[in-house]
Amino acid sequence: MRGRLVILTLLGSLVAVNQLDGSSNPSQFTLDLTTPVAENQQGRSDMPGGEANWRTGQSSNRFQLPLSVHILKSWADDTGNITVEILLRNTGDSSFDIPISRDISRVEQTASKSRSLFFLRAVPVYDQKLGSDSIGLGQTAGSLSIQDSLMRLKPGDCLRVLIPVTPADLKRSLPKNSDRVKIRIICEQWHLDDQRYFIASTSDQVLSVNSIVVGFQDGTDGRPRGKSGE
Amino acid sequence: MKLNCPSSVTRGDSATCSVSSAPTAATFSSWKFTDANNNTVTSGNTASSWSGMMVTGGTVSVNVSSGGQSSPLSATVSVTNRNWHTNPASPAQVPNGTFLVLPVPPAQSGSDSGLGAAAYRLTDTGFSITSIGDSGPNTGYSYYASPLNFSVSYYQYEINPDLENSNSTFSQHQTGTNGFISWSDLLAQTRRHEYNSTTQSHCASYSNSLGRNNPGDYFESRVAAPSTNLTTFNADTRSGINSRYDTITTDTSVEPYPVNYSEAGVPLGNVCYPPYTACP
Repeated sequence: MRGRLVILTLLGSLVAVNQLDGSSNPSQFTLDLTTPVAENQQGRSDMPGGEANWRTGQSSNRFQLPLSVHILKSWADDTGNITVEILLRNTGDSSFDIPISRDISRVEQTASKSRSLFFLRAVPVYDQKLGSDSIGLGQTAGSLSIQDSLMRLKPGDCLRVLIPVTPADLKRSLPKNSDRVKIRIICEQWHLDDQRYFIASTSDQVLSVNSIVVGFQDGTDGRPRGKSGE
Repeated sequence: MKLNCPSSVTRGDSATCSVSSAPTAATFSSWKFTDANNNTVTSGNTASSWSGMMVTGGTVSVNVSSGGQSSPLSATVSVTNRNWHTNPASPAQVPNGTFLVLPVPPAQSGSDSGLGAAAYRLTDTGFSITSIGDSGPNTGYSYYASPLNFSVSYYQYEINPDLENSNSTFSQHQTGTNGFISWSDLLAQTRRHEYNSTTQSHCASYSNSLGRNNPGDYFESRVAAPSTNLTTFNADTRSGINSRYDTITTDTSVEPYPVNYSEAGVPLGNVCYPPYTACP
């Protein structure tokens, strides 16, 4: 495909997003997960162990994230890299410590209480069903014992997050005979065991309330075109 | 002249595609592999054959030139799954208190009869991904070379010792008269509820759900095309396994017919609990 990267449209729920955004007082802090992370901070290349367990009287082992997820906008730079801007809001009644450290290795290597991995994944949507493979990922980690690895969101507080969408993965995700795909954001958290590299519990997945359409479009000037909010 | 490839190969095994009956002076170029999603692998290989590890099926093609003429040849290869199915654990009885303390003598707590309990655990040890770099048809693809390893896999159940003991005061009060269930029915249906039914037991729900949401099968089939972001891919795999675990847990927690019902859902009478004043 001879394609130029273009962010195409947002869905109708954008209006609701903007209204919600404008009526709140979001944090000025933006967590940029699009910049490269040093190799020695990227965490282990293998995935931690995990488990399913149940006993009489239990229903689910998952915990709930007190967060809502909104896609605010997205754009492509001159090199074709796509960024999606997301707004996370604490919708709970109490403060929530959100992992914000990009030094995944440090959290993984430091045995401590309340350490966790936090994920924002951009997932294509096909016929209103989520695809199995993400095309973008923002990952952070945090622990009570590592300073500045957590950010406290009070009830109602917001955090803006930027995550990358990988052009190669986007290209692969396109439906046949289509140059665009709708994506939504999935947010989830894994609590790691205090001592070992093991997932002690996982959160429910929080799905963004809105979606965005991204894709490729033939172009001649070589520059990304289009903007969010169309 | 024909391009011969094995019609199928097990994921992770090697395959060789070779041109047969080519003219002596023929040259071979543009070896190419194309998968079902149009991901391609090209090669500068100029030999009459192209081989390498296969993890995904597709079409292999090559151009054969001879006497000023070029002939495109192609053949398809399918990849079959390895048998990494995660089997359910066999139900095993454990003493009261192993994972839950059942009250002795039995006492009802909400909808819980206090007569039996069940638990399952399936613990995997994590995983890592392998990328193929053999310059063959699937070079650049990544896959899981080793099965998902489980360090723990069990399905356990407990039966209240007072119910198992036909001479206990509790058991002696399950008479099967005046609208109360008999002791033998209650013991049998408690076992049925926890494990001894292929349709109306927690164990059946666990086993059936594990079959439908099999982490081993899912893990086995995960293959990443060249240039896929493997951090993202691994996170998706982990999340996919976790989702299956959660579904299995949710399905297993669904209550079968109560312990004083038959497997067909027929009520067999009330349970007579201490202090036994309301029953004979």
